[in-house]
Amino acid sequence: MPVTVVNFSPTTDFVDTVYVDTNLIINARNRASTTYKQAASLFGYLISQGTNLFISSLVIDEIWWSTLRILYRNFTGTDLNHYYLKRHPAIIGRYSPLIKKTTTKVLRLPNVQMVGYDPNNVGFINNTLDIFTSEQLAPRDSFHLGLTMACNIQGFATGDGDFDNLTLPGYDLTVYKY
Amino acid sequence: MTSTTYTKDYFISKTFAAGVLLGVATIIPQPIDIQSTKHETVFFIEQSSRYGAIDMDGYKSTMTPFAFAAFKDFIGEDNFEIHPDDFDVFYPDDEV
Repeated sequence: MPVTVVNFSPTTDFVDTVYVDTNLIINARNRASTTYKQAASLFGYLISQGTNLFISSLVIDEIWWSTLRILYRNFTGTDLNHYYLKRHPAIIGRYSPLIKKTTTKVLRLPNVQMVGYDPNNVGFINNTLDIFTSEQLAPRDSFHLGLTMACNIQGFATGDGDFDNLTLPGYDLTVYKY
Repeated sequence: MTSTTYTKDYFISKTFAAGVLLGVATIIPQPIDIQSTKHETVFFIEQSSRYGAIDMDGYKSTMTPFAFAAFKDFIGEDNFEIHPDDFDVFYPDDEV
């Protein structure tokens, strides 16, 4: 079975390389999150085992947007959508110090490396297109997985249930859930 | 009208007397009242919940000092509610 789903526990042994999904970072940062303990503990065990952790510009993009929404809701009591943000771009400036701080701390985490791809790499796009159509993931999630596979990363840490039923013929991947 | 003149010797004697009194006083340990104000109570609860549920001693023993410091600095620093749709992707061009 090429894809193994592992529910994280203190006895979990991780593979050497793990792509970190955005939700793990955000939930580990926020102690009011309902999954704070699980997310922070998973992070702790990944670091303790010396696992090489990978993120991408997609993850950073999602951190910025989700953090903006979270901060706006918590400080104003109303939800922020991108239509409103486009009409009121000054909102970004209001919360930029906190977003910068979060970004800096993510990049300072032990063993964290950025992965990317050549935007002109047609092979990468075609492989991601295969994931998108065969696994029926959302486009963004397909790109997360496409990067994981393009960089030969063996693990994927997430709380997102959309990655529970992957098949990925010919590729060995362990999905760590929290 | 009366006036009092405070001399240097007066202050020295009073300071010495206060020192003697402090020296002989019996210091009774008092429990720290973390409920004294709402703010302080919230502060202590928040500090506790940041690391209270996490096995920090275990991580400290298995990480390098640098890694542990970065981990400790990273987790639980913010205290905001998270909703599932906070992770919905922002596609900037989907406004038509």
